[in-house]
Amino acid sequence: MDHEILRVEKIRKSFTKRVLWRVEDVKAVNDVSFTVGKGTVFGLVGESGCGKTTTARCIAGLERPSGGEIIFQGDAIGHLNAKAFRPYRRRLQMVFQDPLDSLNPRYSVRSTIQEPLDIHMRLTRKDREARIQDILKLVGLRSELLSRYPHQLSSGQQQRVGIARAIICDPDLVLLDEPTASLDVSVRGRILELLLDLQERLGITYLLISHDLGTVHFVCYHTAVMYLGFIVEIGVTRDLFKHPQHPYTEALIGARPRLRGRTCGKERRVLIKGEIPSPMHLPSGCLFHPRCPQVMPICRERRPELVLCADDRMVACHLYGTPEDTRSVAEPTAGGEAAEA
Amino acid sequence: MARRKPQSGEQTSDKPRSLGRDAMRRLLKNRAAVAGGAILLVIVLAAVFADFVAPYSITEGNIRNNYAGPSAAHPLGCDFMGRDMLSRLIFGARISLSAGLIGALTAFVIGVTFGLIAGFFGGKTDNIMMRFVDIMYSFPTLLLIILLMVFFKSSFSVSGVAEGGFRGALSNIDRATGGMFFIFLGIGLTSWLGMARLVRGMVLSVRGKDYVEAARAVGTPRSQILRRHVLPNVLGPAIVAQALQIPGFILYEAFLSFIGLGVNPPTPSWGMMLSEGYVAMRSHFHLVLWPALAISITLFAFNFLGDGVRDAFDPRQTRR
Repeated sequence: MDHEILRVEKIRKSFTKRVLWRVEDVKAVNDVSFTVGKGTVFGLVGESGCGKTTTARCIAGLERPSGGEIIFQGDAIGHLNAKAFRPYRRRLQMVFQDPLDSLNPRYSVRSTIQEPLDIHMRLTRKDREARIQDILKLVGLRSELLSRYPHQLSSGQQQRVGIARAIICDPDLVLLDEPTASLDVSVRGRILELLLDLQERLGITYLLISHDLGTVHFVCYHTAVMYLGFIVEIGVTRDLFKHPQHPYTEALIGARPRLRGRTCGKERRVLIKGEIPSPMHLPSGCLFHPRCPQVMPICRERRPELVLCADDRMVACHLYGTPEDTRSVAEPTAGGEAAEA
Repeated sequence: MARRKPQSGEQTSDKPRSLGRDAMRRLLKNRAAVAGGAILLVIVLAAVFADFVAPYSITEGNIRNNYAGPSAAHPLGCDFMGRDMLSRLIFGARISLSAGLIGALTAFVIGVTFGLIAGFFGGKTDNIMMRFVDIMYSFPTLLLIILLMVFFKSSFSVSGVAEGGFRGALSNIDRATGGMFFIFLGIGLTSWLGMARLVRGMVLSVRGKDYVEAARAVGTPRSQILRRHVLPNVLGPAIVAQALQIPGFILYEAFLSFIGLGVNPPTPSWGMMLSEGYVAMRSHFHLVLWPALAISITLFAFNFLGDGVRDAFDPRQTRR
């Protein structure tokens, strides 16, 4: 992992919600920083509503972050307007969660796949046709399907079309927003295999957003765990799953359903109590303190910063470092350090 | 219509079918809709080829035939001026149908444009535009049309004296179209409100769909998203909704002509024929019967067909 392809620096996103005359801020993403290395798969996990998707939408330019910066291949793209962003769209693509919902019902497969080509690449008709055929072969679709409409395809085929649309312009980074969440288990495995195969062949970088820990464990090299719009832990996936440091990560990984009854390593099941607090009224101090089994007095007062706690591992928890250390270690480039190590 | 006819673009099952084709297939299975469509087809053909179909002149009658009942020469009888009822009915279909269709088309174009802009741009634009619709909505439609008619209509201007300016120009157009111009104008200007609301609502829901987001993520320009992603997905239901309104417009025309605000006298329209006939209704019932039947049958046919089309396009029937 020599080069970074994407660096997210303390991005924030809040939505204003009007309740009668009161205006309230829903803080969906708070100071999220991480770095994705070229050619890797980076996982972003967390419960529903923790800001994973909003983060991805900010990166894809579908949402403008309220603060912070996004650096893609060395260029700051976080606050560009639609026109200035367009050149980056070719290299930065997204695959959506619901395959049928993400395809225009009045577009045939051909129109769907061809649209990005027409926008970003000026090809002769012959080249365009060749390109479409190549891509179909890559994603494993028969060329008879070109004239079909989305509702005539299986969900696996639909998602393959979604993937084809994303990769047809040769992107460098593809954001996968729960690409397998709405698929059958049998199809899920094949789509994941396809994605990994494409990555190997085309050298694409993936940012995979998922709440499915199994998928993340299987696919991602680095993983960041999000809770209420904050990243609580980042590390190498294998280590993270084996030795979770943050109590939330530990609980999350412990809660994952298993086929065999054994628990491996030091892993133990931690049950967390209570509900996720409302993102409109974030708790003081550490966001996880109302539910944390290892809560300390300091947790209620100070919000822990993301600090380097072990080799290639960052945790935002008072168990691993006092606030004094925090300032020296976790400066803006914190995310970068974690990923480069 | 127990068995579907294999014509009209039906395809074998392994060939791709667009949503429209699917809808067509479902429509053809609906007997009431097919019957309605067939009746309408006959009426439309009669209206279009009225000049060839109608056996007699519609303006010149024979005094000896005043109030004549049905006979071999005049199957539906003659009216108070001895004019052939059948011929007037056929030409009346032309007026009534075009009032419905052109009214619907005007309302459709204005409503869709308005709703599309309000829904797609959102925010303050949307707010202002929709408040305007709300205000317009609070006027009674019929009252507005009547006021418009009374204000502009040629038959109410000082007789024979040409007026200058804008109002005069409008009156001339009205006179040239036999009094139909203001019916179109009145219906068009007052009936787009519902369409605007409907389209705006649909645009809002389509705009939140993932495929619009996906198009944005791909880098599709805004105008193209509006044209190729939003509009086609809004248009289908909007057309159906507007088609369901056509009978209402035909009724407006009949009503306005009946109370004397519609077409100008020599021009036959079903409403006009009713208003000419009802004076002699007790002794010569056929003067009222035929135009009333024509209106009812047409409205029935339209409603059956419209319901069928709506059911055929029902989104609940497409696989999700």
